[in-house]
Amino acid sequence: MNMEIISQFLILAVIFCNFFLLSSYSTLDLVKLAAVQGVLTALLPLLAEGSFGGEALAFAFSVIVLKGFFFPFILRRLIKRNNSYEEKKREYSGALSAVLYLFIFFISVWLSVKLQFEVKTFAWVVPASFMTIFSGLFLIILRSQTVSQIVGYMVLENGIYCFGLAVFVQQPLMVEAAILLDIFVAVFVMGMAVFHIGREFNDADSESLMELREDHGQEGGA
Amino acid sequence: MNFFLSFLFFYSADNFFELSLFLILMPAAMGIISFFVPTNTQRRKILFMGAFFHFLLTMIILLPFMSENKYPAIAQQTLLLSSFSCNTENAVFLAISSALFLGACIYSLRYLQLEERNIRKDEEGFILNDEPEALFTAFMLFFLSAMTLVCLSSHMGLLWAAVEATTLFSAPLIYFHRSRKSLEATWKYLVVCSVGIAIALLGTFFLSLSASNSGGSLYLSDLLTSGTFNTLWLKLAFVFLFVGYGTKMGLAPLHTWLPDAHSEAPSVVSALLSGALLNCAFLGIWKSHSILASAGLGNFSSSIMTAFGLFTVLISAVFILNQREYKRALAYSSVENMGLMSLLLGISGASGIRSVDKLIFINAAGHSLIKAGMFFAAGMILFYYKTKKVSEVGEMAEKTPFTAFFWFLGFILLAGAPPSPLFFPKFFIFKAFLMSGNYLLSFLMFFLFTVIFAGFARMFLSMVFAQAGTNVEIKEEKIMLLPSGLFFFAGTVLFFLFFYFSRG
Repeated sequence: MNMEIISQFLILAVIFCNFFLLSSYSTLDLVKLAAVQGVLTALLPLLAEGSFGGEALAFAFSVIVLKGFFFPFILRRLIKRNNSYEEKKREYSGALSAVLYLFIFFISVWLSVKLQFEVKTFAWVVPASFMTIFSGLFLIILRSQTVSQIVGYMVLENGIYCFGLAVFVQQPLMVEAAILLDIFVAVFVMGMAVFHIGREFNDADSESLMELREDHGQEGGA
Repeated sequence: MNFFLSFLFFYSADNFFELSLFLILMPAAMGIISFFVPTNTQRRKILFMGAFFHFLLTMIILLPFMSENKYPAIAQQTLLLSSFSCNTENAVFLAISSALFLGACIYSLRYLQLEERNIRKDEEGFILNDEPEALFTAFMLFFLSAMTLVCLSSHMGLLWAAVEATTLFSAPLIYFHRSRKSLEATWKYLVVCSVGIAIALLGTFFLSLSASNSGGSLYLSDLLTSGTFNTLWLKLAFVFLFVGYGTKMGLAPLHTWLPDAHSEAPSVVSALLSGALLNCAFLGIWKSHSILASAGLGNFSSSIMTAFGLFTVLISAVFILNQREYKRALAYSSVENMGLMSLLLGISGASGIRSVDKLIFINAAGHSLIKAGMFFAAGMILFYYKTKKVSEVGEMAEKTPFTAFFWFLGFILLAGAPPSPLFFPKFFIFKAFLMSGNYLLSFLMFFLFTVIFAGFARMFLSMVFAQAGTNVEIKEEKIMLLPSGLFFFAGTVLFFLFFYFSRG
C-alpha cells in the first residue's frame, strides 16, 4: 500500500515537471527538470514490480546514472560553452503556458479515457506519459535553443519510457539495453552537433540554421 | 582466408545465428580498430576489407537461403540474443546494402585521397576542413553494422533500436565537409529522424499492447502467427510505426530532412543514405504491414500506404520539375521511388497479389544501384565544377565526356526508360490503376511520371550540352566512374533477368 502512495506521488511529480518545463525559458532549469523527471520515471518500474531484483535494480540504476547525471553533465557544459542560458524569444507568456499545459492535460486525460486502457500498474500513469510525450514535442517545436530541443527529445523519451511501464511492456533485456544505448548515443551525438553549431555560428540557436531551403529563383540567378 | 572458406563449406542454417552475429559485429570491430591505426592509408585498407568481407559473408549467408528458400525464426527461448531471422525481404535488402557498401568503399578509396589534397572554400568563402578520416572510416563501418542489424532482426524492438542506430551513425558522416550548410543538414536530420523514430518506439509499444492477450511478445514469428490482436491498438500501432519509419524513409510530408541531408553529405554518403538506408526504413514498414495483413487488417495499412505513396510521388514531381541543384534533384528522385515502393506495397495489400513483392524488390534493387551510381557521378561533377547548381555546370559532353556519358545513361535509367529495372514497377502501377477502373489515378500517375521525366530531361540536357556558366580546366578521374558503370550494368542485367523470368 505504501508503495502505491509513493508511486502516486512520483507520478504527480512527473506531471508537475511538465508544467515547469513548459513555462521555463532558462535552459539550465530545463536540463535540471528533465533530469529529475528521468530519475522519477526510472524509479517507477521498481515500485511497480514491488520487488528489488538484481536485474531490474541494475537497469534502473543505469537509467538514473544516464538521465540524472550524465545527460545533465553534458548539457550544462554545452550551455556554458555556448553561453546559451536563456531562450532569445519568448513565444508565450506565463499565463499562456498555463493554458497550453491545461490543454495538454485535458487532451491526455481524454485520450486515456477514450482508448480504454487496462492499466496494469498505477492509475494516472497513462495520462502522465501522454502529457510528457506532448510536452517533449512542444519543447522541440516551440524552443529555438538547440539545447532546449535536446531536452525536448529527452522529455519525449521519458514519456515513452513511462508509457512502456504503464502497459507493462517487458522485452528481453538485450532489447531494453539496446534502446537505452540508442538514447545515450542520440543525446551524445546531438550534443556533439550542438557543440559544432556553437563553434561555427558563435551561437547555439536554431534560428541561425536557416540557410538550406528550396531555391526557386530565376534561372541563372540561382 | 581459410577461415572464410571453412565458413563456406561448413555453413548451414544451424549456425545461422552465429554467422549473423559475426556479420553484425565484424564491421563494428573493424571500425574500432580503424580508429586506432596510425595512418589514413591503413584506414582505407581496413574500410575496404570490412566491406569486402561483409559482402563475402552476406553471400555465404544467402547461399543456403537460395536452396532452402526460408530460414525459420530461431526459437526465442534458447537465447535472449536469438532475435535474427532471414526471409526473402531480409535477404534482398541485406544483399543490396552489402553490395552498395562495397561499391561505395571502392569509390571512397580514391575519393578520400582526392579530398586529402583538395583544400578549398565553400560557397560562402569559409575554408572547408574535412572531418578526420579516422572518424569517417569508423562511422562508415558502424553504419554498416547497424544496417545489417536492421536487415536481420526479427524482433520489432530490436529493429527499432537498429534503425535509430543507423541515424546516429550516419549523422557524423553527413557533416564530413564541416561546412555550415552540412552542419545545418546534420542537425535537421538528427532532430527530425530521432523524433520520428521515437514515435515508432511508441508504435512498437502499442504493438506489444495489441498482442497482450498472447503475451505481448514482439518477435515477428509470434506476431505473424498470433491471430489474437486488439484491433484498435493494432491499427494505432501501425499508424505510429508508419509515421516513425516513414519519416526515416522520406515519405512526404515527412521528408523534409532528406533533400538537405542528401545534398550536403559527401556523395559517397548520399549514395549509401539513398540506396541502403531508405530501404532499411522501408523494411520496418513492410514488417508492420505483414503483421496487420496476418491479423486481417491488410486493407487498413494498404490504404494508408497507397495514400502516402501517391502524395509522395506528387510532391517529388513538383520539386523535381523546378529544381536548381542536381544533388537535390537526385534526393527528390529517392523520395519519388520511396513513394512508389509504398504505393506498390499498398496496391499488393489491397489486391492480394503476391507477385507485387517481386516488383518491390526490383524497384528497391534497381533504385539503389542506379541512384548510388548517379551520386558517385554527381560527386565527380561537384569535384570538377565546385558547384551544385545546375546553371553553373555545362558543356559536360566536351569537358568531361566520360562523366557526361555516365550521367546521361543514369538519367535514362533513373527516368525508368527500358532497359531500366525501374520501368516495370512504374508500368505495373499505371496498369493496376487502369485495370481496377481507377482511370483518374492511372492518368495522374502517367502525368506525374511525365512531369518527373521532363524535370530530369531539362536538368540533364542543360548540364551535358548547354553553355557552361563557369570556365574551368578539368582533368577527368575516369577510375572513379567504375562503381557507377558496374552498378548501371547490374541494373540493366536486372531488367533482362526480370523480363526473362516474368515471361513464363
